[in-house]
Amino acid sequence: MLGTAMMRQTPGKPRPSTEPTVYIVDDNSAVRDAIRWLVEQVKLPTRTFESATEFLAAYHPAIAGCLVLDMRMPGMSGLDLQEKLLEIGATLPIIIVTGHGDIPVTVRAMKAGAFEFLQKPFSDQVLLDSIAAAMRKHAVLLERRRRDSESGAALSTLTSREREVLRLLRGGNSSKLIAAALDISTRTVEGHRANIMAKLGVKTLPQLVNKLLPPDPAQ
Amino acid sequence: MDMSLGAVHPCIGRVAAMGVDAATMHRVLSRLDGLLSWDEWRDEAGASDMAPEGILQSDAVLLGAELSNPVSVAQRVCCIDKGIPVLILARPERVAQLEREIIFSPSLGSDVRPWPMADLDRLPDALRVAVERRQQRSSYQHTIQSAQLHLGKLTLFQPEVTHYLDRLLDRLPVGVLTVDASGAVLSMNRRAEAIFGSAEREVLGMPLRSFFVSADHGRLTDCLQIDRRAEPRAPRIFEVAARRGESGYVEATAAPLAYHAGQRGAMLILQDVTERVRAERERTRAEQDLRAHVKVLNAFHQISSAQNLGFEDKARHLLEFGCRHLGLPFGLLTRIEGDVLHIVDAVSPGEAIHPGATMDLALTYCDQTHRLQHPLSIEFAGIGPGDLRVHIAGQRIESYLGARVLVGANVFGTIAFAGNAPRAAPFSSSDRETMKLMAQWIGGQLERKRNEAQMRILSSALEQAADSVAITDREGVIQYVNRAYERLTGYHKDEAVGRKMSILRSGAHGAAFYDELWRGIKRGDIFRGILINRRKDGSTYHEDKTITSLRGRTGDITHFVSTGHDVSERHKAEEAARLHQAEMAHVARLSTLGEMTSGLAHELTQPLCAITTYAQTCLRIANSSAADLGQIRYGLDQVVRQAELGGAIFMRLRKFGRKGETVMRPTAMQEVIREAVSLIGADLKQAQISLHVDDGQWLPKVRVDPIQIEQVILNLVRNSIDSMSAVQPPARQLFIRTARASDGEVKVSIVDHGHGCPAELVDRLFEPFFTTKPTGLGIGLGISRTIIEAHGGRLWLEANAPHGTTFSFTLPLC
Repeated sequence: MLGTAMMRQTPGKPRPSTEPTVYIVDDNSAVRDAIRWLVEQVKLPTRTFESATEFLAAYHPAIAGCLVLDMRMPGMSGLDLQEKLLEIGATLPIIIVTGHGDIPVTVRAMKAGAFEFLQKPFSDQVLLDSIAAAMRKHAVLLERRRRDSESGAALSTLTSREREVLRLLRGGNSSKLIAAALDISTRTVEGHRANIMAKLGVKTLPQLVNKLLPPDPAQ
Repeated sequence: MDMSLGAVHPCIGRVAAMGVDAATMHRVLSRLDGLLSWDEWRDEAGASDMAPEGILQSDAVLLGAELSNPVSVAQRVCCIDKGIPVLILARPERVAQLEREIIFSPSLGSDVRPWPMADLDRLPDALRVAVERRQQRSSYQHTIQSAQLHLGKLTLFQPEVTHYLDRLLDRLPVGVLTVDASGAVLSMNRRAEAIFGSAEREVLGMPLRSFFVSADHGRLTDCLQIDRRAEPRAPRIFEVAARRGESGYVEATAAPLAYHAGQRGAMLILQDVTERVRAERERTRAEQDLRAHVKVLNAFHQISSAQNLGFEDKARHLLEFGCRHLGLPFGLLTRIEGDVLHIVDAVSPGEAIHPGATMDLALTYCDQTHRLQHPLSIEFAGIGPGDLRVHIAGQRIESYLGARVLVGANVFGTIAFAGNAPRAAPFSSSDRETMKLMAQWIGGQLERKRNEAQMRILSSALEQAADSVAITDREGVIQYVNRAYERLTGYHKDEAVGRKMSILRSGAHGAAFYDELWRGIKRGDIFRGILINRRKDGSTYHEDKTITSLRGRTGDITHFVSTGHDVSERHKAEEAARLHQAEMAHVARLSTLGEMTSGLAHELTQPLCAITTYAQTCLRIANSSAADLGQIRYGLDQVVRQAELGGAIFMRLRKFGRKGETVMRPTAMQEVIREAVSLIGADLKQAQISLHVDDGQWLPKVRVDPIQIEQVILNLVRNSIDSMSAVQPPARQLFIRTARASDGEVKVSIVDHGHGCPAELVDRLFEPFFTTKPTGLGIGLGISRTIIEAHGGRLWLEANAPHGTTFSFTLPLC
C-alpha cells in the first residue's frame, strides 16, 4: 500500500497557467485533500501533487501562486524540492508544513528562503493567511519582473551612441555636458535623447529615470 | 513253490519208485507236473532184478512205506550207485527207528533218509532238490574224470585233442588249475590266468602258494591234501597276493587228480570272488567302525552331559578321553591370539605342559589346523613332505590329529592330540568325526559362556541403567521393568509386571493420541516423544519416551521396549526459558517502540492534522452565510475516517507493545509483513527509502506468534534503514521478499542497498548488547534470532556486500 502509493506516478504536464494557484504537495492523501478543501473555501484555485517529483515534472517558470509543501516524504523530501526550485531560479513562495519540526530542518528551510513554516496540525486561519500573503508577494514579484523584462526589451533597440547618451543621462548630466563629453553638438545629443525617449516609451525625464530604477522594496 | 511246480516245465530228471501206493503216487505226480519222469518198480523182486543201468539212469529213488525191509532195498541200490539219493517213505512212528537203521547200515550212501508220510506236501520239492543235487554231483565227477583222461592220457598221445580240450577249458567261465603233488602249477586255463594276473607259461612249475598271501599258505596246503575217495569239500576262499595292482580273492574247490605214472595231484576250480569279499569286508569294517563310533559317542556324551562338572572339568575329561581313545599321550586345548598359541588346558605325560604356557604358532601343526575346515591328521610326520618338525615338551611329534575350535564365526583355537610315535594305521573317519564333534562342542560351550557373560552384562546394564526400561508383550502387558522404572513411576516390579503400560496414563493425552501411538508401533515404527505420565502416588511427570518393537524369528512383532527418562525438570526449564524469551522479546519491543517514537509520532500526526483541517473547514463553512450542508457532511465523513485511521494505529501500537504469552497460530506471512510495515512506514518515509514488498505470490500459512515475527521484521527493516543512511536517496531501496523454501518452510529476506556490515563485525552481529549504533540496546538481532529459533526456523546473514545486506529467516509451515 505504501509502496504502491509511492510508486504511483500521475504526471501530466499542466498547461502553464499564469492564474495564481495554490500548489499542494503532500504524500498523505488525507492531509492533501483537507488542505485542498480548505483553500477552495476561499475561492482559490488549487492543484495537488502526491510527491515532489510529480510537482517538479509539472513545474513551469510561468506559474504563479504559492506552494504548500510537506517536509517528510518518501523519495524526494520537501527540503530537497525547495533546494531544487531555488537552483532553477523558481520564485514560487513556499509554505512548509511538517509533522514535527526539528530545529536543524527548520533552520535549513528558512535559510533556503521558505516563506512560512507551519507545524501540523495547524490553524486554518494561519494557513490561509500565509497562503494569501505568499500569493500577494509572488504577484508583486511577478509584476516587477514583467516590467523589468519590458524595459530590457526596449533598451536592446538602442544604438551604441544612444546607449552612451543614456548612460550619461542616468549619471545626471545635462545635454551640454554630454555633448562636450562625447565631442558632439548639443543638437545631436538632443536628437539622441528624443530617440531614446521614443524607444522606451516615456515622455518625460522622471518617467525615464523611474523606468530604469530597480523596483522599490517598500512596495 | 506251488507256482513253480504248477507250471509246465521240461523234464529235468528221472525218479524210480518202488512199493509206493497208488494214492501217494498220484498225489506226488500231480504236484510234479511233468518236471520229473517216473519209473515204477513193482516189488522187491523187481528191485532184485534191476539192472545197474536202470539205477544209473535214475537220478533219485523213492521207496514206499509198504515195503517190508526198505533199508535192504536201499543197500542194494547203493551197491550199484553210492551217490544216488534215496528217500524212504515211512509212517511217522517208524521214522526214528528207520533213521537208526540207516545210521547203522555201513553200506548205505550219504544221501539216504526217511521221509514221513505226514509230510507228503513237501515231498515233490525234496525229490526235485535231490535230483538236482545228484545231477550236479555227477556233472562235477564227469568234468574231473574227463580232465583226468585229458591230463593222463591224451596229452601224451593225442596233441590235437589236448589242444581242443585246452581251448574248451579256456572258454570256461571258471578258473581251472592243476598242480602236482608238491603243489607246483601244472596248467591253468585262461580264466585262471586272469584271476592271478599271470600267463600260464610264466608260472608253470611255480609253487601254487606263491600266488596267495602267506597267511593263507597253511590253509591252501590243507586244501590240496585230498583223498580221492574223500567227500567233495566245501569251496574255500583264499586271498590272492597282489601282483599287479590290487590283491583279490578266489573261491577254490579242490579235486584229486591222478596221473598214469601214479603221481597224484589236484585240480582247483577257481572263482573270482574279490568283489563279494571286498563288499563283505567293507560291510564288516563299517559295522565295526560304527560300533566303535557309537562307543566313542557314548563316552563323549557321558562327559559332556555330566551334571556336576563345569566346562573346564568337562574339557579336561574330554582331553583325557581323547588321549585314551586315540592312544596318544598329548591332548591340548589351545587359544590362538595373533602369532601366539596359548595352552588353555593340556594332558601330557608327567604334566610336562602347563595350562597358560604359550608357543609360537608358526612352529606348531595348529597353525595349519586353524585354517582348515576339517581335522588335520598326520600319521607319520617323519615321512611327510614338510620340513616342519614339531616338538612338544622336548619330544618330536610324529602323529597328530587336531581340529579348529570356532566360536561363532571366528577361530578361537584348536583341540589337538599328538604323540611322538608314528601311527600304525591311519586315523579312522570315526576318529576324525569324533575330533570334529569335540571341537564343535567346545566351540559351542565357549560361545554359550561368552553369550551368557554378555547377557549378564547386558541385563545388569539394563537393570542399572539410568533410563527407565519396560518390556511388554504385543498387547502392552508389562513383562519386565528395571530399577529406574521403579524409581520413576513408584510401581514396584511385582506391581508393574502383568499389568498394562496404561497404568501410567495421566489423562493429559487423549485416547486418539494413544491410538495413534499404538498404531504406529504395531506397524514397527519407533515412537519418540514427551509423554505426561502419572506416578503411583498420583503426581505427574514428563517422560522423554522411546518405544521400539522387537521381532521374533518369524518377523512378527513380539514385544515392545519402552525406554525413557524424567524430563520434568527440563520441561520446567524450557517453560521458564520460553517465558523468559517472551519477556525478553517484550522488552525488546518496548525498546524498539521507544526508538521509533519520532516516526510513529509523525504517523499519528498525519490523520490528526487531516482531522483538524477538515473540522476547521467544516466550522468555517458552518459559520459562513450560505452554509452548504453537503460540504459539511463531506468534511465530517473525512474526519471520521481519519479518526478511525488514527485509532487503528494506536491499536497496532498497543498490540505490539503488549506483554503477553507467546500465542502460536496459523498466520499468513504477508499479513505480518503488512503490519510491520505499517509501523515502520513513517521511518521509511523519513529516511526517504523506497520499499518493495513481494505480494504477488501466494504462500501457505506458517504457525507463529504474529507479534513476535512482526518484531523480527521490524528489527531487520530498521537495521536496513540505518545502514542506508549514507547512500543517496534514489539508491535507498529496501526489498522484503517472500518465497516458499523447498523443505516445508517459508523464507523471508530483507534486502537493502546500504553500506553492508563491516566484515570484522559479522561474527558478533547476533551477540546480545552488541551494536554499532549510537542509540538502541543492541539486542535486536540477538532477540530476533532467539524468536525465530523458538519458532523452529533459522535467521542468518545471507549476503553481505559493500552495496547491500540480505538478512533471511525461515519459518516452518503449519
